Amino acid sequence: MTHSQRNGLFMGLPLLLVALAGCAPSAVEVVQVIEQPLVVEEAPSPAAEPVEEVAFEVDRFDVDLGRFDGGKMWTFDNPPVEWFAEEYGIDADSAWFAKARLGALRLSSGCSASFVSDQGLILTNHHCARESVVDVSRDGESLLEEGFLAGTGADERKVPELYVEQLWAITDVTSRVHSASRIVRGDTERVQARRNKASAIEEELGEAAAVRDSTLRVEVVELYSGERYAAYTYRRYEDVRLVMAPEEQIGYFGGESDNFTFPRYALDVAFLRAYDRDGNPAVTPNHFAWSTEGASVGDAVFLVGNPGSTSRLGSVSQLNFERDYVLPQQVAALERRAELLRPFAGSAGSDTADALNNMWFNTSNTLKSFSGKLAGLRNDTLIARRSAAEYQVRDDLFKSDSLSGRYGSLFQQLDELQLSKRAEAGRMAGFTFFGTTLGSRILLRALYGYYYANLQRRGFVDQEIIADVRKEALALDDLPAEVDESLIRLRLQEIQEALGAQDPTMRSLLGDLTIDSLAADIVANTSLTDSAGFAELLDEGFLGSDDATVRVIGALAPLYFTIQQQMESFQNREDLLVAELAALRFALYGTDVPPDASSSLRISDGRVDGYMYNGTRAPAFTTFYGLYDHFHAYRDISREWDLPERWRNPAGAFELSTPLSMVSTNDLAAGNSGSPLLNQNLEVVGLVYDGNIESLSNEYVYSDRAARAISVDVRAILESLRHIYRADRLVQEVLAEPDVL
Amino acid sequence: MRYCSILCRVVGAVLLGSVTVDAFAQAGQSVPVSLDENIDVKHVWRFAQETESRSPLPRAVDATWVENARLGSLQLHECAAALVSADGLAVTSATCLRSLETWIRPDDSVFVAGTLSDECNLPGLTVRQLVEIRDFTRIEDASEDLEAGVEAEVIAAADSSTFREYIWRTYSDVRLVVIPPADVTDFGKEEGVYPRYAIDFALFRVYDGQAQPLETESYFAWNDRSPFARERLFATAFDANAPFTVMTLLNTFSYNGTVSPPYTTLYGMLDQYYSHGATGAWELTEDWLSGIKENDLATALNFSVVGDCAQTGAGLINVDMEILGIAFDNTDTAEGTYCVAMSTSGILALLRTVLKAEGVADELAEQALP
Repeated sequence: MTHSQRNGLFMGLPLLLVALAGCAPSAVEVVQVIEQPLVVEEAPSPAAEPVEEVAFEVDRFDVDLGRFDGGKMWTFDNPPVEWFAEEYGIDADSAWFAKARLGALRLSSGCSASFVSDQGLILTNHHCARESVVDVSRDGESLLEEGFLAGTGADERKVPELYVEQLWAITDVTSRVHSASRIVRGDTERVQARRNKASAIEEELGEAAAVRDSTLRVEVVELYSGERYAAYTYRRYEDVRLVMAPEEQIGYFGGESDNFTFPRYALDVAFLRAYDRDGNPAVTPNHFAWSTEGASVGDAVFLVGNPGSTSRLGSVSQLNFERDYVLPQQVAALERRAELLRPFAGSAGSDTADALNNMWFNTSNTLKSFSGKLAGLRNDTLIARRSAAEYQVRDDLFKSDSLSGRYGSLFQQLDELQLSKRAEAGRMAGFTFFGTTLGSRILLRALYGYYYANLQRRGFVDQEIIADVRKEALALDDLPAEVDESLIRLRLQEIQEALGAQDPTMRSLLGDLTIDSLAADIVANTSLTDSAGFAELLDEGFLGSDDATVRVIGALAPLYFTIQQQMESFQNREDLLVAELAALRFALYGTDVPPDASSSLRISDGRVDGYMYNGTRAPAFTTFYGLYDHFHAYRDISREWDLPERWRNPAGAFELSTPLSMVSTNDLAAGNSGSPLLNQNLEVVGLVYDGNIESLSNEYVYSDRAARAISVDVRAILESLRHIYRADRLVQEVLAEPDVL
Repeated sequence: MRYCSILCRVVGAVLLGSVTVDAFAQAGQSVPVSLDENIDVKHVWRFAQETESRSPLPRAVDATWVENARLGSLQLHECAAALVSADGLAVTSATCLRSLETWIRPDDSVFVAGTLSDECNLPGLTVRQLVEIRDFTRIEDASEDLEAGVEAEVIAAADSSTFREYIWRTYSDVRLVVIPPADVTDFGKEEGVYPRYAIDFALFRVYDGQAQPLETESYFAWNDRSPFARERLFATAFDANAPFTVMTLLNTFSYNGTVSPPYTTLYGMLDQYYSHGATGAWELTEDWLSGIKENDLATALNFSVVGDCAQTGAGLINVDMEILGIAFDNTDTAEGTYCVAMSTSGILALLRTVLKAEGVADELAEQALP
């Protein structure tokens, strides 16, 4: 599934870990910075000395640049009318795009969704509504396990704090924002000035909109890294109620194992309803009609939703750093933890068993995702395509004096920055995933304790922030002592390997002890094994205590924060350079290329199609027959393909050949979960819930060779509503049939 | 002679020459001295994976067991087959018959012999059963004056200090009993692929010299249940002449970002049929489609075991001498080669429904002609 919450992201110290995500400095065993000879024929840098380049082994002229290498996540500001006409022969006019835009929704939880009736009925994924199902459960109910179906409107249950937003209007505010930065000198300052202005406009337009209609909200969206700004006005529905959710066992059929894969058989669907302020179902003339015919192989389909971001627009040297340092180190760290945690897969029955099971699943799924990306980057074709594209930019750049004057050294600066990162990567390697829940709770609590003490010591820090940190620290779950000890051991080994055995930090930390005995000593002499002990220490003053972790974290934390800070400064610099690169691309190609995704509404075109996989062909569809095949085939080895009771013996009228999942070539990213997949008449034919394993490398270059978006086929939803759930009210509503009851 | 390898003698003809390697060793892998010293298996063991080689052979696997497993196995062409009734009925992969040079039946036809008299002679096909293995130190001790229908092959150790003689009984009256059409034996036209949904098997009967069904005490009982995940299985086959037995494990492997199914089912076959739009390599005739649907669709169809197939057509048997599958293809995975097998439960179900071969199905259930 592409919803970020379920992608195995670890809870971490948000205030500490600013730099971890993007430049992800965390990688690498022992790094030698090898100055590689320049092998590129046309060094595009007129001004400076030759730059360190990573060898491009593929001849640039051998590579076909894909027209859509940068992706197909089109904005509604600048819809691809001509392309749609050229490729699909459809006359998508402004009314067509307006209808596609107004039927689509963004959930406050980060997912996408759509209206599928004129009474505010909302279609989204089960995994997007998962928290809502939990939130509306009453004492003694286990709705997640048993599913939920509101028999009448009165039975629909309001989900606390959940809202949905509909993109009501778009206004270009680029010139207003840019006017604020025209006189500002300095890159950083200019970026800041624009962002300040954007916030001001957001506030101003937001207030004005709210006067007209209190359900309207305004958000200024930065596109092309600040080359374009648009004010998006959203209509917000704040009363959202749960209408239907199937059992999690069918919604998440195949579990973490099948996550990111196809062929797939999950009924990952849920229905919500938007209500107006008077407590009546919202009137929503802008909704998508339900296609009873569904889609066929080769059909044009359009995915409308809110994708997050990709890494398609950076430099090749950044990709190489990612490929050679960041991802290999993260994958190695994940593999070590997966090996350690594998024996606990499926463990349950106590809080610590659950914690271990969750940790195992998070680890293995993140490993799956990162390995998929790494495999993509290690594919010569991918880097070759990006290299060819970069050459194209360089060639085009030097055709213009003004552009070459301004951006001539841009790639060189990015390349050099990667060299600086490489030099630091070696030290950082030992701290990969440090400060996240993917490791020892004892060390993590110690790190929180260290941070908490320092925040308090500073005095000028907002008490609310300190309270939040404390709350977060005390919310950590517990691991059994022996598992925690092996995680501490692993961490100490990783740090020692990264720093070298002679490093003074490790030497002073270890003294005469071995890593094994130090880890054992920490676990034997700490109160940080659970939150109760931790809370006491926080009150008494953690750093002043004689807890065994104090000395350890006192040695490690300063080193960690120093490296973090260094990487963060690299990251800031890189952000600026990447923004300049976006500006350069925009100067060269304008809006022909869509801007990178920005968690705002996009439309992506594609076709329903299978692909080659596993030595054969993956079909474009799966059916309920495959669901039952998996249910029976895997029953000896896992509960992940288990079926809820009511699914075990379906009524005779239930047609097993009904298409269940469907794949299409639409571009997507995390955040697209719950997006409607529409045919050219803007009827909903599918509900997007994941990308296949081959789509992971689309992070770097969009490809439609084997990468696919996976949807639940609407026919399967209807068949299930009719024959499994007997949800006649819902069936009539989505089919817009007159109410016969 | 095509069966001869390094040094070989057929019906008394000794061919001696210089050999530079130990022919015993060459014929197979190591003899499992570390397992049960008491078992004089005269037999070569292989292990599909190192983990299997470390686990002890089950207690029931003694010299008699090994001999029975060997006697229940047949060599045909470049394939293996397994006897499955006391009256000479044997099962193999459909490919093994279709690849015969003398095979003349059209690929798209189905054949089911309703009675013994309908069974159709397979000209040019000889199958062999390894009935005895003899070790001796003087070449003069080799068998002489073998009766008709018996062949012997002698292999010498490198220094000619010891000899081993394989005595084969050969059968040239072999008749076709059941073969499904190629569009189901080759469903999906896939090679080297798992998960797989093919109905790949054929049944034939071995007749004795008097044109009577071969009476045999050595055969495998037909198992009609779906296999278990991590079930221990064995396969006996003939490598280039020497028999060997592989101990393996029904297992899954990482594939496509997830884990492969322990076995596939008839549900899965229909999923493929409908998913691919009921066309091309995944097309089924109306007879097969409706016939398959008459079954319990949860019936196992194909499964995968660790290691490469000992030989196409080899029977996969459990420790109780029951046959659970027929090896028909290899698949290369990130975790090494796996062998893809046809499930006997699937075969039995389809014999009764689509193929209307009740007589054969009853024979498999009764382990003898009714």
